[in-house]
Amino acid sequence: MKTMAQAVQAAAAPPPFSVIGGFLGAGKTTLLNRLLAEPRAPRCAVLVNDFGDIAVDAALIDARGGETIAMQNGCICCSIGGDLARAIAAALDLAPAHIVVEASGVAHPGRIAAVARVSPELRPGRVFVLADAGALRAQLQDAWIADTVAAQLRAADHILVSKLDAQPPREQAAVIDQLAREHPAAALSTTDEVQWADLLAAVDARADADTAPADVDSDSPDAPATATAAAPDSHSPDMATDAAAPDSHTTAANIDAVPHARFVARTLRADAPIDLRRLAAYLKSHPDIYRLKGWAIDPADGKLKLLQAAGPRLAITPYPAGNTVADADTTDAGDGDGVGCDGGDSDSDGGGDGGVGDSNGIGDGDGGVGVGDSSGDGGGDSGGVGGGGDGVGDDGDGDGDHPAITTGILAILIGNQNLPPPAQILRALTPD
Amino acid sequence: MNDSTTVYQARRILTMDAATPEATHVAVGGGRIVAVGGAELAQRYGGDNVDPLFADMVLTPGFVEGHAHSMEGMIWKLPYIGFHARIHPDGHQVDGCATVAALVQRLRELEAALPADATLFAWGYDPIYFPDKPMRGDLDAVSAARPVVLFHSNLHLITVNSAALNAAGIHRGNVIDGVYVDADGEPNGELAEFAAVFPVLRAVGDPVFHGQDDPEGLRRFGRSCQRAGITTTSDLYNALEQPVVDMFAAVTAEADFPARIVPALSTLNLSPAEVIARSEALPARNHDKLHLGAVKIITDGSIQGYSARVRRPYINGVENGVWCDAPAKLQAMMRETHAAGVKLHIHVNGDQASELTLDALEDAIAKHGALARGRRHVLQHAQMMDAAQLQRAAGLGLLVNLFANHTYYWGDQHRDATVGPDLAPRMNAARTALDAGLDIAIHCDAPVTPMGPLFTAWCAVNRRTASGREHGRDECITAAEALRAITLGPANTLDLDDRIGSIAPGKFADFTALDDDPLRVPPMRIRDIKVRGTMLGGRWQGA
Repeated sequence: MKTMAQAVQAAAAPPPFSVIGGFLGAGKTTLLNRLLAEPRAPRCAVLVNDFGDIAVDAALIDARGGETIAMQNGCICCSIGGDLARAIAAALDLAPAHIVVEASGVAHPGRIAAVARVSPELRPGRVFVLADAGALRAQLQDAWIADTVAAQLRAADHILVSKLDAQPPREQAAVIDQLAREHPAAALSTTDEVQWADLLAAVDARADADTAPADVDSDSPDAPATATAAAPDSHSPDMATDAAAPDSHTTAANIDAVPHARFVARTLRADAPIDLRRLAAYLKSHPDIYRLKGWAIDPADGKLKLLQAAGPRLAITPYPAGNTVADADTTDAGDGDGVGCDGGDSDSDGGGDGGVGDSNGIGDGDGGVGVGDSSGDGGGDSGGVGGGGDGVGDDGDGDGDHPAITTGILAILIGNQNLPPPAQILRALTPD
Repeated sequence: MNDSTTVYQARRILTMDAATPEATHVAVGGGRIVAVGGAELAQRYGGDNVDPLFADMVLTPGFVEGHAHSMEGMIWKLPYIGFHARIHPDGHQVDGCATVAALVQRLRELEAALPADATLFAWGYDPIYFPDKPMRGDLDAVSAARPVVLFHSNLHLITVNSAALNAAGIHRGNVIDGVYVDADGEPNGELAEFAAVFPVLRAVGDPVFHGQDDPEGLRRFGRSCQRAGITTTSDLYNALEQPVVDMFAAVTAEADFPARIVPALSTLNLSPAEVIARSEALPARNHDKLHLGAVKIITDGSIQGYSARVRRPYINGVENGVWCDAPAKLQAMMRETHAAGVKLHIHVNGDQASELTLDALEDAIAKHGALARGRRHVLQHAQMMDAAQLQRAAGLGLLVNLFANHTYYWGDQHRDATVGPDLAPRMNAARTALDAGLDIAIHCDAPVTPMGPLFTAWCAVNRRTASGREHGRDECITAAEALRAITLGPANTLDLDDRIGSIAPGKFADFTALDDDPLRVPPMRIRDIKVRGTMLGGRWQGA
């Protein structure tokens, strides 16, 4: 009998094995469709649960079979069909450069990914977990699914937030803040901000790092990647959370070996006031930061601002009158601008105060904030995406489940490996 | 009556039919019951002749196993090495391996008969019965060079020897969740879950002993049923791909195939629309021994696997279990298939899973009414349903099929390790269910536990654990109630109560012949009653 070790010796380096998890509706399929259409994708075997959900331009498809779809970009999409072992075995036969597995919406992605830490035919890649910005906070309070969603997020090397721009600004900040605090060891970015080439480069970097003997001990999934001492509820003025940059395990040498490895996601947070003009100037002088999305209290007027940067130019957009942080604390109380879980049965019309209906037009990196009416407190004017009134929104009980930005800044940064540590950035921004 | 009618006399006939609860004679013609009653039947139908075949036996309606899997037949492709003795489908008893020494000895015998390159696979191992678990070292004593892989009785875990660990590349330096280790941190050979099991089967080969496409496996399943006294069984989770349907249709139609089978279509990987279409198309293949059309939805895992969805966390404090699909999707599947009139068997082990299901069905039934033709959805296992949930189920016109065998096989573990002493004795609440007005069935879930409806009835009547402990005494039911729960009750869950489940005129002549009367022996002896054979549609076969 041929042992695995012998079989592997005969083959090329084992492919990195990555998993994409996230609860139903979080956007896994959308992200996978983007991978299959990504022109710069290397030879990925993409294992999906349901072929029926794969929707890519027919022009991008090379050949379609019963169990596989060959893409022109070199990816092969394979159906898992309820038998993951068989699907992985079939994928290995194709000698792919990467294997990317879609975990089912209720699966624990870390338990799937663990196979690569054992199997000599696979190298550990990364665990990507999608979080639906519109549903997440409701999911985490739903007795049926909260533990599942939380376990998925805990397994993440990299949390990808989907549908963030569809949320009202306060909710955006709250979701990012909650994820950054509860999962300080995970990289954090939005699905819109990252390209598959970046993600796969991060996979390569991670796999290379994990293959390097010296790094074995740093691979403990339980160990925060950086010493941020980010006690979840601590808001000391100078605290910054360094969100487990994917390069934190890697060396410059093996990043340079990979063309697209220049990808880092970090979370920047401080409760101390930040001079936003200094931030704008900082971005201009730091091309290592590719994108920024954040929220801050502008010391100039005490109001909440939306921060967006693509490249060196920072757009600072005021929120409309009446939506300052000062009244966020009151208007949020019990407003139930809840978000329907799973998109089903969201026929409740109670309690919504328009808090969600105001989401059109935010984002696209151009700073255009088309916030609609968000002042209809008490009007019960439909609003809610669903769920309404069942405790999904902030209940104003001060238990910290809706961490509004009351001061300082919260931002997520995308950059390259030269991106300075958040603490260093913050020092540069804080008035002396 | 024509001369093809035969009148059988039995020591006693327990009919499960209120009009004639007990009888001594039954007239059979054309594969069906013509009449049931006393000696007068001989004159009326037998030309004064009586067939004495059952003269010293007690007849009951043919037992109905409402929750089993045809895998019970397929699995015997591998040798059985479990703790308890088990009856091979061919009739011989395979002794249990009740000690580590006996297990190692059995495995050595099996190993000696294998060709040089083969892996030794076996199934039925259950570590809970061994204080000192047979682990890697014990299996190394079987063979140092040849991989040895034992599938646990739950089929989710394996225990392997060093050769198998080495082949898979598992060692103390890459231990992950699911790779169990000894006190020194070395993998001890027990492996759970996909990530740990995959590398082993990838390296040593997957014996694929649980496919559903093996005609000989299906025949073995039929024989296992017959020996247990079962004349109708479910096959409660089957993808029913076309070749499997063709095979089932052909094999069950064989004259000597000894059981009626009710497969339920698995919804795995199917959309509600696909499920509805297949459920409507499948009955075209039905005949007297094959009844397609029902659907099986699995919502959660198992309690002993800590994967049933429970409202109160397991006493190890970890988690509430695992959904098999997102709750919203599970509920949508139930609502949409119900709206289309599809009959559902719904696997609910934990009480949160039954809650989710009751919510969905309540909604669906309110909107669309009950199913046509008296069919009713069935909550399968329903192990943790409490009085309130059972009342809701009764109010909705649902049925429950309780996993009575769990009381014996895992009752001790449920008390000590899974849901704890507060809830464990309340599990499989047959008394509460009956008092709520539910018609219940009880089941074995073969191959998870062995087929044997009398044993299942014994469990429900006595509620003793494997260690002999009483386990929720107040949920015990009577022998008569238990007999109904292995005959007419499950017939009802399978929508065949108009044809099977009791001994009444017009029904199939399906009987189980016993060497004693389960209603009259001391309750603790019900499991000792021997099955002498079965009659299926008038055709007799000794056990």
